[in-house]
Amino acid sequence: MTDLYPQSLRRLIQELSRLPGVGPKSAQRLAFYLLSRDKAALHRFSEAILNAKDMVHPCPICGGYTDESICPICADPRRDRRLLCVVEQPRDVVSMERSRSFQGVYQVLGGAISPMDGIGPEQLAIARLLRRVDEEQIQEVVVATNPNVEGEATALYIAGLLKEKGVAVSRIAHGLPVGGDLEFADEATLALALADRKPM
Amino acid sequence: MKEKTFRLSGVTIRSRDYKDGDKVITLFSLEQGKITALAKGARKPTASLRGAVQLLAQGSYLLARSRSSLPIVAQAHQEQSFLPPQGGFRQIAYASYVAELSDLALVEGQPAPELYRHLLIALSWIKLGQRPEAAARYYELQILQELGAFPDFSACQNCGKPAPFPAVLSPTAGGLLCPACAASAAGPILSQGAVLTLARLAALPAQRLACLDWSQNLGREMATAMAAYLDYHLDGQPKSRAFLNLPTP
Repeated sequence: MTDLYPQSLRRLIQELSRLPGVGPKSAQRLAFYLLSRDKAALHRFSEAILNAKDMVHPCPICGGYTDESICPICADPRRDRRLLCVVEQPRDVVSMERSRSFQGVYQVLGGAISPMDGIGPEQLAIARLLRRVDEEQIQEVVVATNPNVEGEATALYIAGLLKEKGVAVSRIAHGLPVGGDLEFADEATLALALADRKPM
Repeated sequence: MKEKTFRLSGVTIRSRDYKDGDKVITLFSLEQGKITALAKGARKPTASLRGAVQLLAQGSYLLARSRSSLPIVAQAHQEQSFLPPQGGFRQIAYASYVAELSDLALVEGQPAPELYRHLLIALSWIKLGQRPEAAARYYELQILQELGAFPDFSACQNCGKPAPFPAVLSPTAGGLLCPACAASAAGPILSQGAVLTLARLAALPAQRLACLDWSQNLGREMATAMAAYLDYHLDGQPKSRAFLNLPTP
């Protein structure tokens, strides 16, 4: 059906449909929306994309995204540098920060060990993590990888390496989401929630 | 006319993130063998499907046929997870390897109930944490049986003489070749001990897996031979194999 559109519009639809979560129909809707905007708005939009691409880079210390020389978290003198949280992706730093419960610093691994996808420890920032533990005064590492097979494999691998260095290693708790009903919880989550129960 | 929905019991042998909150899973089901399906919203913390669509989860699944895409997981109930609860990295690597072997060996929509039973045995064994390599060798042999490519360990496949050892395990010949016949054939070399252990392992009732024990050298010999033999018969090499011997602290 897109064959009926002019060549330049077809190209726009094609590019939009490459975006994650955007199918051909959504791409068409977005393309028509963009065409309906005035030229100045479109300039701002395209300039914002290019500017983000030019400016944003991984923080040389933690690997999170920043447009400064180092990210605001690594630059903040009030953060507790003895406490380091390991996450898989830069977006996980934002999720952790939203909780406002963690005052330490971060290390982004850039993924998780995935045997089935052939992603091993050497493809992640594990060497950088170990270097930081050696060079900085880190006393505890909180492993906040995702609670799935890949995240668990990564957590176990990292914990093994860090324990050899005499650093305290903890794993974020697994359990029921706030607002969730027990009725809808799966067995594995309930079992983990029970295993990690705490006295009241 | 086919029903719009159908029920399966199975194990998730592959689980990939898809779009914003979805997952594409591959099930090894008792009823229909390998089935790939879309689990919408399964990555969200409150999703009821979440547990059952994790890699190595076993459960019952209600799938809805879709005209334009993969079947959609409408409901799922997780019965257990084969992710070792207090397990080590090595156990996860072996469980992933067994799951990946299933994915490579199975054809979409073709039931393999006997192999499914063996998968449950192998994963249960790995979850227990005792000699996961025995479970892996056991399952590799069962896969070859399912593919109709089980190696003949009884005699030389060329001259028919009882194989003097060490012999060559040749995937092209379908079993052992004696040194004279194997002169030009490529393949891993197997000692008599390795051949006898593999033959026993294939015939052993699952509950007696613990009875078999072998040295590290024999284990390496069998792992190398089985890897070469399987690679010849499978569609590609399992990536997780490289993780089985990854040095872990």
